[in-house]
Amino acid sequence: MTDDTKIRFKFNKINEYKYLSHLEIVRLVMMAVSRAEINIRYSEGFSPNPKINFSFPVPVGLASIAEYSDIDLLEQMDASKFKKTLNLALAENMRVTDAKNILGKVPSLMGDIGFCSYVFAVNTKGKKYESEIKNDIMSSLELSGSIHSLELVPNGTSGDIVNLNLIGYTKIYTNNKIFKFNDFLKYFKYLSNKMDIVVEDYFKKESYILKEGMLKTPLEIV
Amino acid sequence: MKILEFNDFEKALEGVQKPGRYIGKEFGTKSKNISEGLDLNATALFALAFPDVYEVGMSNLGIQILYEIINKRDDCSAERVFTPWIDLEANLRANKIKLFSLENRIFIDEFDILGFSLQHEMQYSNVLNMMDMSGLKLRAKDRKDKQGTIICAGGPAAINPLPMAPFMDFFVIGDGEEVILKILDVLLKYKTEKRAKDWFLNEIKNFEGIFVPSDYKFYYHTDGTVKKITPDAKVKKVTVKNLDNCRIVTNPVIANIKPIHDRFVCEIMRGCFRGCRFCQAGFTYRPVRSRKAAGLVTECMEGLQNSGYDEISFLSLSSADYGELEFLISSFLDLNKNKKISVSLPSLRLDSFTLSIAEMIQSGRKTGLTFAPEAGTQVMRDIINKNINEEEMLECIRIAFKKGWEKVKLYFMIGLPFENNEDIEGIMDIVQKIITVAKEALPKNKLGRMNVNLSVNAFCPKPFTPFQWAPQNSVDMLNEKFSIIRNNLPKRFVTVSWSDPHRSRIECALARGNMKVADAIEEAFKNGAKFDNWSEFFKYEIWQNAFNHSGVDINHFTERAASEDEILPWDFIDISVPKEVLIKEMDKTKRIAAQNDR
Repeated sequence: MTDDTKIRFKFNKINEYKYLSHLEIVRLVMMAVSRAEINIRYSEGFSPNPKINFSFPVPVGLASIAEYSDIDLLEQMDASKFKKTLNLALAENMRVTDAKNILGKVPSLMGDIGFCSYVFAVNTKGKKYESEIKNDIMSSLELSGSIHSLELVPNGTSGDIVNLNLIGYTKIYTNNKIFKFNDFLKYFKYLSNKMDIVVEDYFKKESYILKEGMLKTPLEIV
Repeated sequence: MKILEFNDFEKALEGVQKPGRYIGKEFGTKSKNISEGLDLNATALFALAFPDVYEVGMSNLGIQILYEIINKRDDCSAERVFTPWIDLEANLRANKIKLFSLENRIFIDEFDILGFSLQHEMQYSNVLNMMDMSGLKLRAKDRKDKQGTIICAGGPAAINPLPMAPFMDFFVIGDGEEVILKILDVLLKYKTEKRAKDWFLNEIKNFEGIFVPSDYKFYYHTDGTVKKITPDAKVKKVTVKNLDNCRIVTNPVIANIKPIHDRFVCEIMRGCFRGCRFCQAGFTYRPVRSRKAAGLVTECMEGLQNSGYDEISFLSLSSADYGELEFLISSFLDLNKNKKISVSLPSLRLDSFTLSIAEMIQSGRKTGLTFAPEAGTQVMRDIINKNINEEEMLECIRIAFKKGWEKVKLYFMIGLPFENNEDIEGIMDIVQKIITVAKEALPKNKLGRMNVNLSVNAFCPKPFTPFQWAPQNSVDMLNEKFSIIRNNLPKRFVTVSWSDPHRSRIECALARGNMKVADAIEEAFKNGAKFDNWSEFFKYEIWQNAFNHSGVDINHFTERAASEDEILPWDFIDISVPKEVLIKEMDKTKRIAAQNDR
């Protein structure tokens, strides 16, 4: 048995598809794999299961451009061909954006991913609130313990729009808390209401694995 | 063209469970994209409506068939709309947002035509709710606005169209596949030539299968029975003569939320040879038409590849009667032997022959076997013309247990014509005999897993069957029979489920209703009736009050025995089975009953 039948791929769920749950997305990926006639490997034993794993579920309503999955195939397949073939079988609001053949052993996505980054596009309506927003969020003990880093940068499209880039913990390291997206969103909406600014859009941007003191994407480590 | 903007759509979805029900954009979506330079003035827009929630509607084959046929045309576009769940309904009503389609989120009252698929009488309240949410007036006579949305209905629960007739501009009685194309031609003219609704209805009313309610008048006797129906001309059911001319849908829309039947569907046969006297579909889908197996195998392979399903269901009313069943299944399995494809035959009538087919398709995981004796004694099975013999069934179950099956599902009805205590006791007797067979045939270590799943339903006499004249049992009688069964079944090895007698009573009143019943349906809707098919939503009091308030006697349509001489409300519809045939069948029933002192 060759060992290079595994592929790690990155995909998005955008626009209307942000309203699909993790299980619904998994079902759609499985059906697309089948339509693409990509032969997935099954586990041995009494009730064989397809060998495919996914990264953490994102909440219903949150778009993502950084979902990950590891799949094990019956035959070796070039990752770029895999990407092209699967994309032809997916609906318009889901795309494989990158894929790599896995050489050797890698830890599972669920166990390995420790951080996720999010982007919030905020309309400040011309007010210079950047440092206040940052201070307010970081002064909430409950939230700040779950945030690895946070910055506000110009969005580039319009002078009034700034991006809040945030990296939250999805795993316990030392003294940190787990970042809960919906709790944060609720607080951030309350805050923006208070400051009379508007959260216009938000999405999940990336997942990270801590490796040798650095944050690496799941595809960078294979 | 007014559409719901994405921002407003997102606001409406706030706090809604399963928002994926409303997002569209599924793989296999076929409607035209309105933003891509489509000439809206030259395109007929058809809203295909299903009066239940997304997961139910997306399991319906009829919707997929019509969606495919309409969207194949360059000059038409069909979009789907399902009943919003109560949480989205509340948001839409609170924000004064009208109901919209799934694909382009076009408001329903912007469509040229709105067509409802009626699968069951208990969906009628949802039809009115969807019309109301769309801002459309409920009564056809109040919708005379020029170029307004034309509303129609079809499907098995439109076979007696009268209870819903005042709400519809027209009905399609029978198979929709071919007549829909002729309707679309007229609809295009209605739109491009800016014609009146009456012009449209006049153009289509002579097509086979079309019923325009405003063309018919009903006169009643003082006791509520029909005195006269004018004109004399009958509405003839439309049938597709050759099913092979209508390809199965090989590229279905793949639901984004797991539908209740999550598999590829292939209809092998329409109609049924059996003639069970209680079964409406058995009479209304005549004549029996089959598709050729050789072509189906290829189309199914194509369908599985297009859809990505690993499960297929071969659909018909009685698959054991499909002439090429063995050839179909073995060729299909042969082509898929290296794949993990599971096959289901939902209506397989089991005997020693078909058991081998069940074995072919359930190899490995023997999930369960289903039998539908429907009645507890041979006399009653003769009365209803259900040709199942107890000894043969028990022998088949014995063989099945030896081959590794452990679970049996049984369907029975109570409240049948000429029923007596022996028939009720007969049900318990059959269950007991199956347990005895299990104890003999199953090894001790497997006996513990053995289960008889008993499903008992109240009989609801339906139009166009030989039992259309029969009285329905009262709710008290049905409850008494249910409790006898529940209290006397063995506790071990058996699970039992039964239908709500109150719901069966309303179902019967709606199924055999005349046009006056429409008043009760409208009243029930206004008092909150919705999702009546869902036991958690059905409220008998709402319906009882609605009938009382409208001055319509429920008993007239349920417990009253109709006379063979009277004009039945649906007699103006010709389903291709003459009334004399039904009377003859009823006579046979009476003879069997008399010979057995019933």
